[in-house]
Amino acid sequence: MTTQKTHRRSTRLAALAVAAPLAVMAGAAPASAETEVDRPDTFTSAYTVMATPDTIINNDGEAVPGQDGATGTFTFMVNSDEEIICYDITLEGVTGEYESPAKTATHIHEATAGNPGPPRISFPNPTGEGDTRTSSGCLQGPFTTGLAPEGTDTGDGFTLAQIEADGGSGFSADTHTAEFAAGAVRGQLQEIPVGGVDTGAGGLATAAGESGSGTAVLPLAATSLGLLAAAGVMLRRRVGALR
Amino acid sequence: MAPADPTAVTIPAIGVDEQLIDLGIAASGELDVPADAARVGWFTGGGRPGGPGPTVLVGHLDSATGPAVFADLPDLVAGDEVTVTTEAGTTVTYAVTRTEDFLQADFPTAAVFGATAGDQLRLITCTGPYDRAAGRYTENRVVFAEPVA
Repeated sequence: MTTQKTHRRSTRLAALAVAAPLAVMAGAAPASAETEVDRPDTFTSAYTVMATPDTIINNDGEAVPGQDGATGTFTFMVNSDEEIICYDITLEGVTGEYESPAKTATHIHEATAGNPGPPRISFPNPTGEGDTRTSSGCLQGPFTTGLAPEGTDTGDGFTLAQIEADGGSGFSADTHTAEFAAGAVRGQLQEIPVGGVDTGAGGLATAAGESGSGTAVLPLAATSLGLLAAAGVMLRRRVGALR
Repeated sequence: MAPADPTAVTIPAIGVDEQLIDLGIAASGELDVPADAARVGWFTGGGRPGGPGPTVLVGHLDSATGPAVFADLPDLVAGDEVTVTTEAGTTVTYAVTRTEDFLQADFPTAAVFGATAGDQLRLITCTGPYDRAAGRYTENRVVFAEPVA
């Protein structure tokens, strides 16, 4: 159903990780790492994150500054049945090289607001020219982070259902750089809706041609994929922005 | 001071002047909608006027028998103004920047509900063909607006 490709890690990051303090604990990732996959047709939940530099907590639980003036927006679309998470990440004002003992420097951590916690998913680092860096795609678990402080990868045993269990509030997203090792920006996951918004009962469709833009699909045509597809062609969709 | 919850919306161009009700996320994962087609709701998991993130307001296009509170929302065009009042008594006036129709089956979650560093407003109703078999419209009209400088 989906085309699976081997997840490519950044060789530059791998080199940086060697120099990182916890690098001795890296490299224990099992062979069954996540794979890049196509976007699924449906999702079971979604989350967004407003990441800022004033929410950074180091591994000792102390509040430390992130990169002043930087922000990050993360949107995650989850299909927990297929263990797929799609990510759409934009960083503004994050500068310098990424650095993390994990295999990438952009993560979902299992961490409530104000507390540290282990990374559970490691995402490709956003890239781009100038002040804006972006990263988007879909990953299918099981997930690994490449970080194994006690011999077990911190992604081992993690499932997306754990994010859904508490509406995302027990998880944060962040990105780490050489200058801001504890995080340049960070924010908590906030659940947002999936799918369309069911704001009509068909009253105007019944009276098609009157005020409003609703128009009826004739009963026999309601199941016509051809008609729905034709309607889709006419839509001014910005599909590219969604993927 | 944290931005306050929105309590009312006024859209002079289409004669809307309504108090707001709270909307959360349904068990299906979709956004809840007002049970009363005459009411406008706001998504409590989104942004607040004056703060970061999109404030999302939702109203029905129609009931089973006729026009509902957002029946004329599709008439809004760029430049039309929308004023939202908060429980702190403050108001923020937004101007429509663009309107777009999206298939509900391919709804742009990130573009509509995703976090933004600045203050944004989204207004949502239904549009497009009505699928009688499914009992719902197949598209959403989304109005995007930004604070008036």
